[in-house]
Amino acid sequence: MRTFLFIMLIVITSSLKSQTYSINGAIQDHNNSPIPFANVVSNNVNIYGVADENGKFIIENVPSGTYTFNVSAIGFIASSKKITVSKNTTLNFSLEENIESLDDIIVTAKSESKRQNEKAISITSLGTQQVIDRPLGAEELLKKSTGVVIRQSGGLGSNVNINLNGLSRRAVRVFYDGIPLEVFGGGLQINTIPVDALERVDVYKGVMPIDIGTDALGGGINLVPLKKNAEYLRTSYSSGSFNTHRLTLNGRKNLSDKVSISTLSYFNYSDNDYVLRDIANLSIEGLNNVENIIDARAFHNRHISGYLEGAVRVKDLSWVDQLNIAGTYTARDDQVQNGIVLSPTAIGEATIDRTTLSARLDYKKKLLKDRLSLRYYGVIARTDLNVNDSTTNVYNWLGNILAREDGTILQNPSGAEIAGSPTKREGKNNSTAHRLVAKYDILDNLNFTVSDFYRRTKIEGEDPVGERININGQEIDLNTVPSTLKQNIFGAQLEATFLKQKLNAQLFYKNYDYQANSIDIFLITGDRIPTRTVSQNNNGYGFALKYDIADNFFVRTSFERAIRIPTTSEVFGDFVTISPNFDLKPEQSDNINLGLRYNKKLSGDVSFSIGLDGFIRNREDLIRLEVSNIGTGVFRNEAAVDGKGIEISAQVTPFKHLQLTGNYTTQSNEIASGNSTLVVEESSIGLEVPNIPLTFYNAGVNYTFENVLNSKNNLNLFWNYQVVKRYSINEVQDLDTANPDFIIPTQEVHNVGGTYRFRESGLSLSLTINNVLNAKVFDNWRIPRPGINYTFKVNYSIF
Amino acid sequence: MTTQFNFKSLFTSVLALSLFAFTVVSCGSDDNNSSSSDDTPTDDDGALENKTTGFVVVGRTSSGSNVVKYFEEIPEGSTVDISDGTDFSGFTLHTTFESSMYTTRQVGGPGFSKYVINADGEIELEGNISAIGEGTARLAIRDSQLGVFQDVSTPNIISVFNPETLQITGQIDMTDAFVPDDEQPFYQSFYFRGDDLFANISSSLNGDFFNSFIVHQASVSSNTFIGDTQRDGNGINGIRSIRHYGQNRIDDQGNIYIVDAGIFDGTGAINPALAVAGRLNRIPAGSNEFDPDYQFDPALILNPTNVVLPTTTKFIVTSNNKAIAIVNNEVPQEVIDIVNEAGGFLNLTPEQQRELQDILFSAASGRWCELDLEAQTVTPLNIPSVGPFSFGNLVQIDGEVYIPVVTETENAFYKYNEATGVTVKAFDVTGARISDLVDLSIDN
Repeated sequence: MRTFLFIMLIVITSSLKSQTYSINGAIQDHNNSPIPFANVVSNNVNIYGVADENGKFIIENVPSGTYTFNVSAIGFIASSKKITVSKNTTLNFSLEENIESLDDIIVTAKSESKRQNEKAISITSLGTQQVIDRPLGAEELLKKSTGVVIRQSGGLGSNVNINLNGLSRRAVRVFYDGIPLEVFGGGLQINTIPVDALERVDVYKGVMPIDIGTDALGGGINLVPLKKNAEYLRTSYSSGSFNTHRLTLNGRKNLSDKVSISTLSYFNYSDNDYVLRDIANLSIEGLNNVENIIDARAFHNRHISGYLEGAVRVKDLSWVDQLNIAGTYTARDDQVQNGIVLSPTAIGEATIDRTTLSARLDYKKKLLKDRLSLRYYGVIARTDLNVNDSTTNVYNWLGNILAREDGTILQNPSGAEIAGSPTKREGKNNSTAHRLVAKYDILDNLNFTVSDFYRRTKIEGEDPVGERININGQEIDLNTVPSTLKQNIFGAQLEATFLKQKLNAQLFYKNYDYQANSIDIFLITGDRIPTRTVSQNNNGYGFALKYDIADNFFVRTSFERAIRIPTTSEVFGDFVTISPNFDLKPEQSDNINLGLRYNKKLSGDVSFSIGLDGFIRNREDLIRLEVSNIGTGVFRNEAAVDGKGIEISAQVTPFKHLQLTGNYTTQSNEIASGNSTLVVEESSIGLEVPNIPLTFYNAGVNYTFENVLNSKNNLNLFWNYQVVKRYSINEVQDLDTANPDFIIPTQEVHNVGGTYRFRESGLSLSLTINNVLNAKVFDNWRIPRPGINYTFKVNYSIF
Repeated sequence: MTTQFNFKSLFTSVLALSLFAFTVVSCGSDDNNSSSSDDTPTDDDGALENKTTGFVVVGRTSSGSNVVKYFEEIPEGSTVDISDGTDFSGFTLHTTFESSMYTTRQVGGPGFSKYVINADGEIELEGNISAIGEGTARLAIRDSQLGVFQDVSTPNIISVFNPETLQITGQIDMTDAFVPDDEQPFYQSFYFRGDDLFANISSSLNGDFFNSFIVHQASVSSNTFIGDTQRDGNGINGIRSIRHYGQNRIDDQGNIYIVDAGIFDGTGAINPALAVAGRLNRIPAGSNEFDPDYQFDPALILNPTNVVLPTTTKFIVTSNNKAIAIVNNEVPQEVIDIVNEAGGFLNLTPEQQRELQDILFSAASGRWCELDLEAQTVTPLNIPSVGPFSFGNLVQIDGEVYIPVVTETENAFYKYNEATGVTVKAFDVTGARISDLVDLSIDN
């Protein structure tokens, strides 16, 4: 009997064991984007799972029965479903964002952005997911980051200058999917890309990871394009002031469980015909030029740009874990309205347009039992760039061609509005960039990564109206002589974790190899146009440390000896007034970051987080254009600058539905040595480098009304306040006594808006009113930004 | 009732306080005015008049901006800090006339600005001449009713204006003046001799330098083109010229001197036979042409072997047929070493030629010299050597010539007494590299 009972027990147990099932599913947000690392917990404490980075989960050995599964992820409203398991079951969840944290784009859900933010290297990652319904461009997103000031020379699509921790222009690199933006030929620009087309924006502060970095003195900004894994189709259309229209269409279709196709596209159009208030306008009265202060509407400021990408992805094959092949077409057409400073005359005819065709390949594979991760990323691009600046007409701000009272039209003798001489240059740039990254897990807590980035760009063209040089009796256009640029940047990194994974340490090395070939203007003779090759090799290095003091509190520090390689134009000059300097050294900077993050959830809906960072940017051998008093110029390595600053970011959720956010940056960039060996230039030591904002901050409030008009619809209202304190474009001792003519006054901008989301239909409506107080604001010296303006946006997720 | 009473009391109190505050402020203001008016003349309306005496020191910071600071007295024998002066993005001074300083316009667009020093010693914008062409930067004044400038948007026109009103009163059509290859002229400087206006060309508007040094002449009484004259070079390389501040180009006999800088692209280093030294070109009194018999090349007189960079810059005529200028004197030892290493000028590689040019342009190889315009002698002054294109302009104050000396270790004005032949340091300047010294009481 005992034997029988024992056998029965075995049989029953076996039977019961064989009656277990698996539950698999995916967790997505309302835009069908996967929510990674969400917790899936049942009412049986032994039955639970965690979603992977693609939002997928599988729970095995689930006995038959009825369970209630609860899914939670930071930044999303938890959801639960009750199911009866009697077979292998699929269980999908669609989570709603926790809308109180709409502006929580810096410290957000345990998303990729959150993971980036918590790396040892100082990164501010700005996720787009929670602001994707708003009519924003990438530049607006960046304005909410600590340490970043975005300055534009006009409206949508105008030139952008990014200041990051006190460094700007060439010192700050911008990447698209990890590849320098310039490889894409200028068709892509940070203020032409809507947030709809981006997964997130990563801001690397002073220290660049080896799998992203090229040469960059002050860090970089990586625009990460939208990378949804699930099937989706989403479109948006926005319309706003200044006849601005933006359209996006993004989607993915799975052809099988291994093959999918996707598209990512946007189109921008704006007349940018905003009113420039209180500007001087020129008219002709008799022999005299008379200036009157007027409000003028921009009349030659149109911007059109578009991006169309088609991609195929295969995954989970024996030879590849994931392979993406994408083809893109980018076009941009800009009218030019003004230069870098505003003049009483306007630019009325000059245009710049460009188109780029590019192809990208992204290959990922894990080998050696997943200990070795390989990624190859390659881009090939061709850009056609046309500049048309060849009029002799002179325009005023009313859009009139200036003429004398007798009807004689004034002639601009240079024959150009923005260049020194007429140009109709048709440039053809061919670029290719390749990055290979291999990461090997030596031990569970020790890995080694190598990265190699290679880039080649060839620039040539023709200019039918440009200057010619007589060589052997033939008039030669210098544009037809190609210039080439080659870069190879190698990186190696050792990363380890210690002390029960509380301490993360990274040590890295970079090698920058550079080769440029262009015309040697000094060697041009009557019978030849020689070219010259300049090459350099430099080393950089650094480390990063992060220590988790507690689960919700960490401290980190990082250092990099950063390098910026001189550009081709800095080395070879402009063949006209700027002479070559073939001995130009790279700019160098010792970049140090030290920061901490703390967050606390006090009770159900009450939480706060704070981040405090300090940085040092000590630069030397800075390259500057030295203009002699005989009218020529040459780029030289001269000045040194000591930079330092503090950034604070905070968010508070005092109660459900309300969220307060804010950040504050104050920085100093002191001249550490003058631009020459003259002893008198020591007088400048300790003064601020001109034309760099010193203090800026922003604050935001979000409030969400639930069940508005419909039990499932939400209305989110927001207010955002951005301030950039005054600064001078001159080197001054004291701002209080400085010449006000050269001070950019404090800029204060209030933006308000709201988003109404139809939770079940995938439709949302959003309205933003910018500069709601109609303040007079300037991005650059005396170039007014638009007054009050609005944008209305409709988003629709079809599936 | 009580409420009404309190309101009235409050209103009365506020009114009283306001009146008191207004009175105090007004008294204070009057006090200030009277304090100033003790020292500063007022005009017919009682407004404080601008400074007509005193000195302005202009400097350039390491960032390229300028600082401008006013001094009641010339700071003899001291060290002055101008770093707390008024900052400008640029302050290119063209001339000083009737205590007003005329500069290239920095705020609002191309053109020129007229600045004064107000009663408080602060620099103040008096008005602008609006131009159309970016790069417009040449202006000169003859008297209170007549000045000229070139707007590069109409390069063949010399505009005549009234310095008091800043209104354009006429135009001189220079279309018939000779410019090689029918290019458009970019004038370097304007000089007056009575009703004669001389305008030397720096380059074409596109920046091309010409093989000849060309001077156009016009009449400001009839606003007509008169003629042109030129000095030929070697027929291969461009002759250059340097901007010179102010007027002071006419000697005691009425001869006018217009200086070119020669060829300084290193041609002389490669082939001494092609060297063209900077020259004082003399247009004799009563003539409109360069005097072909007057060939005064100071650099070659100071050092006949200096064929590498034989240039003369920063020239003014003082008195007694004397002039002051920077004359490049030496071939720096580094250059000699490079040439020797190459085995002679002809063997220089392009890299060595560039290195050589860098050294020549930056080395302190220039000497401030007194030139005897008749005897054609060159006498170095006893002050430190400077770069051949050193910053700073000359000014004559009370019979002494104030000379800017900017070297690696000095940033000072020296003064040269022509009567005694003695040169002493006048004052040191800190805070910015000196560029101009202005005596508001002198038209220059």
